[in-house]
Amino acid sequence: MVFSSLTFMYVFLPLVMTIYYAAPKRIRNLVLLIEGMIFYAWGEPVYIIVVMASTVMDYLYGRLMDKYKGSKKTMKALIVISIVSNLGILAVFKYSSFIIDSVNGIFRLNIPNPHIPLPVGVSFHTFQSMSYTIDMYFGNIAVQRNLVSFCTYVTLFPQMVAGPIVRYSEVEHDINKRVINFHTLDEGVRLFIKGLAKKVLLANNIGAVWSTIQATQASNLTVVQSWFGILCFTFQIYFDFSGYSDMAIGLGKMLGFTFPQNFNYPYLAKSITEFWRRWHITLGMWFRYYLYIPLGGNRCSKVKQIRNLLIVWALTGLWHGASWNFMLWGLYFGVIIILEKFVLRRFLDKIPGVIRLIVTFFLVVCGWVFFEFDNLSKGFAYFGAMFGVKSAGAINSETIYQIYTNAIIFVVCAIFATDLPAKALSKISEKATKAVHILTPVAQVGALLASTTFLVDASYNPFLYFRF
Amino acid sequence: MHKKISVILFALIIFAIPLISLFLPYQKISVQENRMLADFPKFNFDEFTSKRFMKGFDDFVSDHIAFRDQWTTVKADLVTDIGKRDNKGVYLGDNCLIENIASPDPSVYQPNTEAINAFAKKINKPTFLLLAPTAAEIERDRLPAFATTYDQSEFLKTVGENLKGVALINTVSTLSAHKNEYIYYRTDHHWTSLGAYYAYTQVGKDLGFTPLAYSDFEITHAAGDFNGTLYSKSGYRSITSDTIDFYTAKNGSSLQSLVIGSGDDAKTYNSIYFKDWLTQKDKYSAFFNGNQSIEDIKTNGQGKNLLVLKDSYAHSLVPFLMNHYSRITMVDMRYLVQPLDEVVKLKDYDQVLFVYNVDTFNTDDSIQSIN
Repeated sequence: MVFSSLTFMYVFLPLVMTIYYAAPKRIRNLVLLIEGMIFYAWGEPVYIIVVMASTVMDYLYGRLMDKYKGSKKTMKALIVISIVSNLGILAVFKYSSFIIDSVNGIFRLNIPNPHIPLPVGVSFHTFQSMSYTIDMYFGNIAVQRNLVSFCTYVTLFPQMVAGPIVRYSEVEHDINKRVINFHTLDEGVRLFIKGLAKKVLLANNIGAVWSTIQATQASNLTVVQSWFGILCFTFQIYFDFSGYSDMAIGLGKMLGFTFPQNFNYPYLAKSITEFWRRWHITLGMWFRYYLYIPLGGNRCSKVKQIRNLLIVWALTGLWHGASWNFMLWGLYFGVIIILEKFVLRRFLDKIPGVIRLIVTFFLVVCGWVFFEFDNLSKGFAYFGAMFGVKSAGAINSETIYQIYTNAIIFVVCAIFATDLPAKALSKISEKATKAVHILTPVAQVGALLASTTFLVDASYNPFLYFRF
Repeated sequence: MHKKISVILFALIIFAIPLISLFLPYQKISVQENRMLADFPKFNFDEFTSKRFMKGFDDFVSDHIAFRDQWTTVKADLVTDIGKRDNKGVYLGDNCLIENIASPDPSVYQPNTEAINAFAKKINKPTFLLLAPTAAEIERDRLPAFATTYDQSEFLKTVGENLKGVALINTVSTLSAHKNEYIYYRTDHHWTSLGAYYAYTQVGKDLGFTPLAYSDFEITHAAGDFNGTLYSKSGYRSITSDTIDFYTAKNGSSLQSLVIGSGDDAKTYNSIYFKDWLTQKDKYSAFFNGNQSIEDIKTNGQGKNLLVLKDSYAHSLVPFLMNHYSRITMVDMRYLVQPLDEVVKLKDYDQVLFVYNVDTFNTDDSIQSIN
C-alpha cells in the first residue's frame, strides 16, 4: 500500500489508528505488527512470507549472539551467517536477474533467467534488520527478547516500503516504551500533511511533465526542453522522496515513534559531499556505520581510503536498483567526492558559496540523467540533447507550451526546495504568533483537501521506489 | 490549543469522508463520467495473491468516495488555476475541449490498412475509406497557445499511399474551409451533424451521387444541454453545453425500417433517432441508439446498397447518405462477436464505405477481423 492513495488515507489510516489507540498499551506492539503485515501484504501478498521469515531469523541470531556474548568465534560465525542470509535474500530477489544477465553478457553464456519479481521495499527492511544483528555484534545495543517487539520494528508500516532506514538502535527505546500526546500528534499531522502535499501536489504534477519529456525520443527534444525536463525530474524525485519520508516520520509520530530526519534541503548543498549529508541521510548513515567504517574508513592509508570510498559508492548506487546505470550513478558521485576530499579541498574554501552551490546543483542534475535512464545509450542520447550535440534545435512551440503551462508549479517547486519558506514562516510566527496559530490549521485542511482532489482524479501517481 | 485544533480537524476529515461515503446511497453508474462504477471486488485466495483484489479495492474506494464529481471538478479547476491548459489528455481550448489524440502507431494502423486492402480485393466492389480528422486537426486555431498536436493530414497521406484498390476520402480541406462553423462538438469528441454534412458533400463526389444542398434540409434542435465525453473525461466544467441537431431532407427518401442486431436478437424500429437518450447524459446515442454491432437501414428510395464499416463518427453521417441508397448496413467491428460474413451477405452490396476517425484507426485493431 502507498500512503498517497485513497485506500490508505480514508480506509486504512482511520481503522488502524482507532484500533491502535483503543488497544491497551501492553498489546500495542502486537496491534502494530498485525497492521504492518496487512499494510505490506496489500502490496506483496506472497513475499510477506519471505520478510517474516528473514525477520524471525534475525531475531534468532540476536538471541544467539546474546547467549554466546563471551565467545568471539561464535559471535563472528553468527554475524557472518546473518549478513550472508540477509544479503542472500537481496541477491536472490533483487539482483539475480542483473547478475545472470551480466554474467551471460560478459562470458557469452546462456544461463536461464528466472526473472524473480522484486518484493517492494526489500532493500529497506533487510537493511533495517541487518542494523540489529550488526549492532548486536558490536555490542552497541541490548538484545530484544520479545519476538513480537522485534517483528514490530521491522514491519513498522510508516517506514517499511520507502524509508527512512531506521536503525534498531534509534528506536530501541520507542519499541519498548513510547509517549503519545497532543504535541506528538500535532507534529505527526503537520509532517504527514506536509509530505502528502509535497508528493501529490508538487511531485506528481511536475513529474507528469518529466514523464512526457522522458518518453520522447532524445533526438526530437530541444535543448531547452531537455534541461527543463531533467529539472522537472530533479524536483519530482526530491518532493516525492522527501514527501514520503515526511509522511513516514509524521505517521511514526502519531504512533509514538521518533524516526530520524531523512532530507535537509539537499539542493542547497555546496559540495557533493555535503549533498549526500542532506539527501537520504539515513542511507548514507547506514553505509557509513556498517560498511565504510568497518572497512577502515579514513583511518588507513590514502589508497585504502580511496578503495573504501569507491566500494561504498558503487554499492550505494547499486542499492537504488539492480542495473549498471545505478552503479555508474553511484561511482559518479564517488569519484567527485574523492576529488573533493583529496584534490579540491584547498580550493573549495576560496570559491564563493553561490558558485559552489550552482556547480553542485549542476552536477546533481546531470547525475539524475544516469539515474533515470537504465538504458545507458538512451541516457547518453539525452545528454546529447541537453548539450545540443543531437537535438531538435534550441526551442520549439512544444517546449514553450510545456514551460508556460507548468511555470507556476515549477517556480513553487524551486522555492520550496530551498529553506526560504520555512525561514520566513518562523520569522512571521515570532511576530504574529496568533495569526500563525490560526492560519496553520486552515492551511493544513486546505492542503489535505487539495491533495484529495488530485487522488480522486489521479492521472499520474507513480511509486518511484519499486526498484530500491 | 492550536495544536489540538490541527489534530481534531485532521481526524475529522479522515473519519468523515469514509463515513459519509458509506452512508450515502450506493451508485452503480456515474452519470457525469458516463461509465459503470467499480463493484466491490471478489475475495478469495487467488484474487488476493494475484493482487487483483487490492487493485479492485482501490478502484472501488476511488469510484465510491463521497462527492466524487465535486472532487473531480475542483481538481480540474485547480490545474487550470496553476496554469495547466490540459487535463487527462484533453486540451482546454477557446470555449471548446479538444482531445490530444495519440500519435500514429504503425503497429496498429498498418495492419488496419492491410486488412482493408485485403477485404477490397476479396469482395471486388468499389471500396472507400473515409478517415475523419478530429477536432485537434481542424480546430488547431482554437488550441491553447503553442499547444501541439500531430499532423493528421500527413497521416492521411501515409495511409492513402498504402491503400490498394481502395479510394481514400479526404475531408480535411472541406472541413477546414468551414473551420469557424460549429462542426465539432465543444464538449464531445464527435463531429456535429453540420460537420458530418460537409463531409457528406465530399463523400458524394467520391461515391458518385449528387449531394443535397444545405437548404434542402430541415433542421431540428433535438437537445441543447449536451455535455459530451470530453466534458466527462477532463473535468472542465466551464464550456458552453452543446446542441444536437437532426437534419431531415425535405424531399428525400424516408425510412422503411431499421433493424438493430442480427438473428434472434434483431429488433425493428421505425426511426433512426432514439429520443429517450436526449433526456440522459449520453445524448449522442440518440443517433441509431448508440454503438450497436449491426444496424440494417432500408429506405423507400431507389438506389444502390451500401455496406458501412464504421465507428460512431458514422452515426451523424449516415442520416445524409440514406437519401441516396435503398439499403445501408452499418457494422461496428468493435462490438461484433460473430464473423462478419455470418451477419451480412457481402454480395448484396454495390459499394463498401469504411468510416473511422483518425484516432480509432490508430488505436483500435478490431477492424482486422473483417476478413
